[in-house]
Amino acid sequence: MIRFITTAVVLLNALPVLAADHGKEVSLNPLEWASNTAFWTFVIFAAVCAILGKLAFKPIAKALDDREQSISGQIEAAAKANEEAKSVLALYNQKLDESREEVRQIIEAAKKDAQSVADGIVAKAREAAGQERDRAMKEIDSAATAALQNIAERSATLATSLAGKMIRVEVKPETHRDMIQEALNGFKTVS
Amino acid sequence: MAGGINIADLAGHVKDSYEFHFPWGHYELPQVLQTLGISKYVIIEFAAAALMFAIFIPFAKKISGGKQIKGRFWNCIEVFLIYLKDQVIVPSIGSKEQAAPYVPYLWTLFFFVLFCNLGGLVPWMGSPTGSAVVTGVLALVTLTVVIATGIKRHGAIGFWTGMVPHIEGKVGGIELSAVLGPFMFVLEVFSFFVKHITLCIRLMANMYGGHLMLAVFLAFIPMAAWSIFIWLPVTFCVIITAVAVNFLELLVAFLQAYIFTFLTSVYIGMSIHQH
Repeated sequence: MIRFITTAVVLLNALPVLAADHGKEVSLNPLEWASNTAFWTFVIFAAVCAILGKLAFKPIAKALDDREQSISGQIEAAAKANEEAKSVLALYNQKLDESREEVRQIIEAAKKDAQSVADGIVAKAREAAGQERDRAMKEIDSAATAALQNIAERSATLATSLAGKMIRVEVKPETHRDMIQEALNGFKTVS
Repeated sequence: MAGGINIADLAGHVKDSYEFHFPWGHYELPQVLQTLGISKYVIIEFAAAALMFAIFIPFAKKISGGKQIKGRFWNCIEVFLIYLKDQVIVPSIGSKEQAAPYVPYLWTLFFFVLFCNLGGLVPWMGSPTGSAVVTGVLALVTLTVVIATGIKRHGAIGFWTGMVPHIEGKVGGIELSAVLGPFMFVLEVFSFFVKHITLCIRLMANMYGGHLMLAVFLAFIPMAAWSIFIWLPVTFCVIITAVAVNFLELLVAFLQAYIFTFLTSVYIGMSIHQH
């Protein structure tokens, strides 16, 4: 029983070590020469080298090289595109900065223009106001002068008339005018 | 002999033969194959070659024109190919242009060795690379490629004389290189061939040693069969160990294929860039 189980265990271990040829003396010398094995090994290996070299390994090597070149080409193209993108970005940033500067200058110029326009308007307004004031002052002056002259004339006429009545002397128009003028001159000198 | 089990018998699966041994019996190869010298290892090599055709020819069609590969399996294959080319072959040989002619050969070498190594992990099969005959042939092909590369690059005489490094200095008015040159030449040529012999021995020893170790572990089971109380723990431990060693063998299969390919690339690189 034990021998049977032993055999089963060994065989189940997937190692056919008990399957050696019991009928012959098995040599353990691994260096034992066998011309037939050497010949067939050479033939098989040479055939595999020749056939697979032509049908498989050379095409595989070429395909791998092609793919490697393709990948390196793609990497180079990607790097180039990246550089281009960087330069475009730099250009864009430069233009953006220039635009910002331009906008700043435009705003500044607009402010200056607005300020100068405003100053002009204020100056014109001031000038107009000054002219209006001067004109008003002149009108006031002339009105005042006219009023004073009117008062003076009336006063002189009244005084002359009063004086004539008092002295009963008829005053001639020329004399009358001369007296008024004299009184006005005296009035102007006083005022 | 121990417990009725012969270690040599247990290690039988690592030897080449004209029979496949299954649990249900032995299958002897047809006489015509035996007459042609086609043994178990040769059939496994044919299977490895067929597997390579089945994988790499469709892969070449899928990837033609630099197309993207889809699918986990095909991506995995692509990872192997690209890793070997870019991380092993090109750095060892020098430049991409210098390595290009050798890439198909080195890819073939890697996968052929790998599939032969993995054959030892398939139940009832075997690992052809556990035989010095197989690894010897592969090392011989590599030696031929290396010599051909060197001669093509430096000329028939230049390749052999170029192995001797230049020695500066004089001894008694005589150039050191003139004195030591012949000795160095013999040493370098000897070293050159030893390198390729070690290429063969290293792969064979690793594959053969791993399987032999597994056989020895498994031999403990029948050896302990005289008592159930000893047999049970021994069997348990051996099975655990055997599974672990199988995983180790899987690693070794990939590692040795890598080392064989890497050293071949280095030797080709050395024949191109001499001292």
